[in-house]
Amino acid sequence: MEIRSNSGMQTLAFQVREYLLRCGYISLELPIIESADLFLLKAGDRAFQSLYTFEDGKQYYALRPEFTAQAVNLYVQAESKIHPIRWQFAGNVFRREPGIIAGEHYEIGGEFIGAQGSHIDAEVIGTAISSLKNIGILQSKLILGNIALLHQIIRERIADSRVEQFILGNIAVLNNAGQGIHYLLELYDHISFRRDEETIQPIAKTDDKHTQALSLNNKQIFMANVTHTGTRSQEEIFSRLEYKLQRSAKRLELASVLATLKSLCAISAPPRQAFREIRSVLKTVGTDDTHQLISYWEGIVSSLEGFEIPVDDTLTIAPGLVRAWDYYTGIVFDIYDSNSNTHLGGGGRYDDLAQLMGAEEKVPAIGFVLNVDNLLEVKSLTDNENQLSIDIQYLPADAPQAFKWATMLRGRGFVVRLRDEHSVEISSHTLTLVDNASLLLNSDSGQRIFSHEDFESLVALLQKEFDRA
Amino acid sequence: MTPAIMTLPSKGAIAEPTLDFLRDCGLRVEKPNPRQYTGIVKGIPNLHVLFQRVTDVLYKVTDGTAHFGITGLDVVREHPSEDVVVIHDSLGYGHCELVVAVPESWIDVDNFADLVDVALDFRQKQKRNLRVATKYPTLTREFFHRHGLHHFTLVNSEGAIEAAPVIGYADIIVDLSQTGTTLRENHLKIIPDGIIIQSQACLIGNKKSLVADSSMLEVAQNLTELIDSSVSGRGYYQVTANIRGSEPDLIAAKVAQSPSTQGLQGPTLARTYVPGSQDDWYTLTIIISSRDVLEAVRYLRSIGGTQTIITPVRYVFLESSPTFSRLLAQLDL
Repeated sequence: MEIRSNSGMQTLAFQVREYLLRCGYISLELPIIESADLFLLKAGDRAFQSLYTFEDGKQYYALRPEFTAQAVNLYVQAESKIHPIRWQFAGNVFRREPGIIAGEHYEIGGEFIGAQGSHIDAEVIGTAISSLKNIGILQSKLILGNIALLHQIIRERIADSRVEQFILGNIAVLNNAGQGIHYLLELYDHISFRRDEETIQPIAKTDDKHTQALSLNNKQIFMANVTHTGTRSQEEIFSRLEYKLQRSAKRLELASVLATLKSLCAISAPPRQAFREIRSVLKTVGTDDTHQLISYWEGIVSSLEGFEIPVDDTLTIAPGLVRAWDYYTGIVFDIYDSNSNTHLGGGGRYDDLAQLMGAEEKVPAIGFVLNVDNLLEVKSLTDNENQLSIDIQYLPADAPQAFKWATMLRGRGFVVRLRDEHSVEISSHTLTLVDNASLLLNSDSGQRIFSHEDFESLVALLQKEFDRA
Repeated sequence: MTPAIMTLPSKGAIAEPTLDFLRDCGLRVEKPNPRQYTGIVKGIPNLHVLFQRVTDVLYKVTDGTAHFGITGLDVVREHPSEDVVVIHDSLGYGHCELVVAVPESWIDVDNFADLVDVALDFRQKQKRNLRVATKYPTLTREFFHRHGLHHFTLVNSEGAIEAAPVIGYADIIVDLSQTGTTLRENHLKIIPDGIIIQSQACLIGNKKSLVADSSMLEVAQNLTELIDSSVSGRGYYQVTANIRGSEPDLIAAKVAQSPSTQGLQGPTLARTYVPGSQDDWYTLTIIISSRDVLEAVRYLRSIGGTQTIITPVRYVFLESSPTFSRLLAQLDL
């Protein structure tokens, strides 16, 4: 078994968190184990499948798969009167992923709760990218999607939240070879959004007026004859039945919506080209609301230039981007390393979540997460501490002096390991304690002995050696 | 030699059928005293019987107190354990289904997808989860989540679960049903795609003892040989008939022409000497499926057969016991 140091990861996480602190994100701790219900509150199938869950007595728990749901819950429970708030979180999160035995990741998340507007979205996205630049990842690329636009296109033609959820959950299928619209319609029928044709034919195949008349007739019969309705009222049951029948009649409309979405989701291009193509697709079906959402999106792109992000070269507009968590309601984004294409992080807007957690009104919010494991992979920092460290070799009798030197050097930012005569040499920079109180340094320029009075010279020389390395 | 212990249900729906089943397999259980909770199996030496409640059968096999047990498959699936191996999952009796049932007046609910919608309605309109009364929390939770219903609360219940929606402490139920009559009488309907598990009696074993102790594996082999051959035998009859003809090959070809008389592996013919008869006679023996009996008799008559005798087959031993082969594979032996 390979033993790997996590010092590189700790250093990197510290640098990111310290930068976020400078951006106004205060640091909070969240529990690793939570009630599974918290994460399932507005989660779809994909989110459920990624949870590590377990039972303790009659309680059903999950290891946290991310920070956002907990952060919003904390915000709602605290009934904070201060707006907006910027919070950051760090720690291990746990997600089941295909092909991965232990889905444990170290992540840093930032949440900006209580503010909205394209400038706010740009600030959060820009902060995420700036924090990467701050640790030396200069070449990243940004993919920007807009779930609000997809929601709007669907809602304008199919007012059914479950169908909407179904489409967004399967949006990737639209442009998959061998699947596409036909496959999605078959799936729609298969999961029984529609009642069996034979049982609904008198109602579903007629025009609206006839439907209403038949429904009214059926309703009177139902109300007069059915009494044992359990915990639902007669009205609730019949209303839902009518609603379901209307859903059945919407299948043709669904096919048309899917065609629009398929064209839209095929777009993946730099901003100017992408927005031109998006407007072209929505030319005939778009409304004022959809065009406002496109303008909002463009507003984010132009604001991002303030973070010195070369948008034409590094930014891709992709309307088909739908991130894994179903609570996103607006802009969504993913960040990749340009050279290795490693996924570094992402995020999005989730304006509905606070209300679902019990807030009295809608609370606008947007957040991001950075995957520190992947940042480390890109930075290759794992063994850097060996290059920047010093060994002090000493005899047991000289231990107090060795400890004194080590403390002084550590105080100046060096990594210092103490080594008695039995220890194996690790560092390429070894100082030997001689004459009880002085240090002998062997370097390319020869041997030098440093007393306590020469401490500053020793620091300068070591710093020079490291800079050269 | 350590005696093998098999636990059997002491009461409940599968208690008596289990004793009947074992007797039909040649494994008659003898109780020295009807009030005692122990007994022996006549067919296999050194196999002792311990009578327990249906769920305790599983616990005794799990903790190794017993080496074998017969209980319901629903119980085994509800309390999964790495220490238990299902040796035979369909002994052919004690059939029932674990089903999702809703009030029959819920005419908007035809399938499980509808129930997912209703759960969302409960959440949005009543600001609470769908409440499900059940004695099977593990299987229910797994099934609901697998079918996209995540917003529910389980209400553990040991009493008459069918009444829960009427009383109002749950919205729907998940319970065992054999015929659906009890559910119907309580104004409940089964959701067609809400059948969580189809259960029947099954034979289980303690994995550790089967792997570690060759004598236990030997008992398992004896049990599975008798069970397999007996279960197989129930589907067959032996047919013996006298048939007139001069050439045995010709008679065999005629017999094999009808699917009803082709038999497990073709007919056997033996020359029969009939005093005073001018004709040649042969005695035909075949093993046929029980559903082909009348058709076989008609066909044999049509080709000159008479004096047809049909007797039940008690055991059909194949080259090896398929159940025992599967057990060895499960145990990586």
